[in-house]
Amino acid sequence: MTSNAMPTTSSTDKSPRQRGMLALSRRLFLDSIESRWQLFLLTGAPVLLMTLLYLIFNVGIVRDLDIAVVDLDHSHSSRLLTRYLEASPRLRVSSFNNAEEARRQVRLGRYSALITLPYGLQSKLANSRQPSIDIRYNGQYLLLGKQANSAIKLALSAGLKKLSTKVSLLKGLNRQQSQFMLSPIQQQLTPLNNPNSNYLAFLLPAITIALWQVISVLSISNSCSRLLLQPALFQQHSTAKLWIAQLLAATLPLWLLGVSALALLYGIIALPLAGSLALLALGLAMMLLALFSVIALIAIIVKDNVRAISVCAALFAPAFAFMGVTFPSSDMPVAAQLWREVMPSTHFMQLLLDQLSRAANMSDLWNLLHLSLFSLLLLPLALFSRHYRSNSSRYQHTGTNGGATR
Amino acid sequence: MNFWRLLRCELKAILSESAIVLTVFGGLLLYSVLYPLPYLNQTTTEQPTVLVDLDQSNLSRRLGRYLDATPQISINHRATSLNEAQALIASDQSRGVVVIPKNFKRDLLRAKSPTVAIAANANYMLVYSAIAEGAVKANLAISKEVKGAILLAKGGQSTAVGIAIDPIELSSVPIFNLNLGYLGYLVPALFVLLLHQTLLIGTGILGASQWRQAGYWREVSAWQLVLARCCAFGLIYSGFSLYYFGWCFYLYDVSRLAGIAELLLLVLPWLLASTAFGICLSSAFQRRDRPTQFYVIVSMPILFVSGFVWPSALIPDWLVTASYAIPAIPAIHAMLQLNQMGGAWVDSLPYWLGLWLMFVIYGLAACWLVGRRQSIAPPETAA
Repeated sequence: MTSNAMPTTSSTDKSPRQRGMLALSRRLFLDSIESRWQLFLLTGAPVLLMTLLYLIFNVGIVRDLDIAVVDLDHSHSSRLLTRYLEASPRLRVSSFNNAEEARRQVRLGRYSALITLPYGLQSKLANSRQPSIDIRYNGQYLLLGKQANSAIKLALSAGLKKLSTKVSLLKGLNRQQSQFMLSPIQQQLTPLNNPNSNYLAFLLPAITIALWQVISVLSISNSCSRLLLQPALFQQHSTAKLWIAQLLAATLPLWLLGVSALALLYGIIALPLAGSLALLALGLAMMLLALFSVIALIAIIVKDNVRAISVCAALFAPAFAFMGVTFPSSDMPVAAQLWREVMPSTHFMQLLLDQLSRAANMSDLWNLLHLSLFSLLLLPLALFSRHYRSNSSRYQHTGTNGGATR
Repeated sequence: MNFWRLLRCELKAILSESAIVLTVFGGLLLYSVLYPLPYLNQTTTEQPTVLVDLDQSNLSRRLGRYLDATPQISINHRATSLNEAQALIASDQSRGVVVIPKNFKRDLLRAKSPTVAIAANANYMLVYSAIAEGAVKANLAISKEVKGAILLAKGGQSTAVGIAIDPIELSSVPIFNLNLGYLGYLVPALFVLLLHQTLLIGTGILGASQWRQAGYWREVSAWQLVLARCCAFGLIYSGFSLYYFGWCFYLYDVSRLAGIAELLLLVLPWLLASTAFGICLSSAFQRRDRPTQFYVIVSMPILFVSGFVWPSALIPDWLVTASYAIPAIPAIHAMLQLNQMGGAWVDSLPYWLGLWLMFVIYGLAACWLVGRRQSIAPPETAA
């Protein structure tokens, strides 16, 4: 092994191995997917995970939230309200006779809300004594609880309108007057960019990008550590050439993977997109460059894939929380805002969110600029590579660690 | 080799493996800070909203003030036309818009209900719901004032007016996680999952690094090794459970309704089952850099299938059923029931017994798998 490496180092230019960058890159890529796991990461894993996530969020729109209704009045009015609740597509009503049992079931987390229609609802309403309907929604399942609450309020207010109309007609108002009295100001709510509040459109892109980032991080780390196991290559090729070839080898398949993920989301599933897909593809490439710069640096500093992966997992696994999709970034504390800045996915996600809301324009360059700043890390990488190279050549001469796997 | 020496060997093997120390100790400490970090402010407030007041009457200006006064909305721009508002939203300077129509006041005086339009960017679901909630609240307040004024003008008494405005009172109050904070919502389940995943990674790396070489683990019988490993990881993770479910929950002000005895009782079978599960899976790993990768990429689907982000009823049944084979899932449900929703211990009993059953099944499987690994001679010669 050592005797083999020596002559190539001394005569780099004439070596037959020293062909074009693309050939080298191709060799590095083929070498990296010799590992079955790496091949799985690039092909099977994304397909499996996307299928799983699609199955989970397939329905997209929240419906059939289980709620419990305790009707203590058993009157015409209370049954009318229950029917209105049952008619809501977002709710699925279970009626309980026993308040205690209903409460226990709610504590088990089976129901998103508990509605109590009190005893005397109808008579109090008729006598203008303002009965009160209790809605207890489950704040532990935050989003579901809120959804249930708003659906319940919507359904009940439709029912109440009917009841109140009767009361005010009895009081001698005419129909038009009573209509106005019930709701003097009408409201029209519009969810922009996602007209039916589809969770698929809101959550799936963010999850996809987060997953894609995790897969990219792992696969780049694997491929870089594999490269570092072959110090002979550092002797044969110039640092810049080797790393550029490695960049191509590691990120091109990932870029294709990312582009096909976008194609799946906005082509096949056809989620709404206002901006430019080409810009997003460019953004993916920039993000890969950023990730590569970070991970190659980690790999060359740590020099052991197990630890490099651990470090990467610690850094990149929480990225989803910081994307600002589920929880808006403007409400994050300063420390979180800073952490956001050092996550490449944040900047790409911002680009994506902007493209979801509007057509592409010059301000998108700002996000791309942020992403390109990460490539400054290539400078320390070059430095470390030089160090690594001189070290590895020493090893090769003494023959302690030469060649490693090849 | 007696049990105590075996346990010592296990602990030594865990602590001397730098990747495990990095993931388990470093990772868990880092995650306990990093994951809750974005949510420290708990709720979304003061969302930048643009107001398009086409009426410019005293009533429309009052509505504008009411909007600004809600905790959810902050009017940061005032536009004179819808196009202008659109540009502001497109450039992300505002995330929502409220349009007060022309002749707003005149229509109200003539008893013709005007329509106030509210729109917000639904790519940020929480922002959308905050702006909608705030705007609806402000509208209701104005509506009530208008109704009250009309009724008083018609000669009603002020006490009767209050009831006539709201013939039925809807009192809608959250139960559990009372302040509707994001931390209280996310942290309990997330922390269970974090402990679970790092535990699996730990057992995975330990297994993968041992299978290839000779060592104390070949000198004992399989069941002894499994038991010792469960104890070793159990010991480390009971410490971390105390830190996560005790100190961190306290620090992040997450509700802690279960007694410490109940919590310990729940954590015990969960840790044992998770470790046994981890040992089973670890026998499939040949290389030390694989377990972390595998568990990192599967953790997101596990989180979403656990049913607190997205209702289980809308996830395919077979997927939900299958997910109960992962010890974290019943543990998350039991934890939420006991500690967050103050359920009775009896009600979580099925989960608890299920975890013990898992420990038995995975434990037996682990013994068998470890036994098979032990019977393969170490391929040391190849290296």
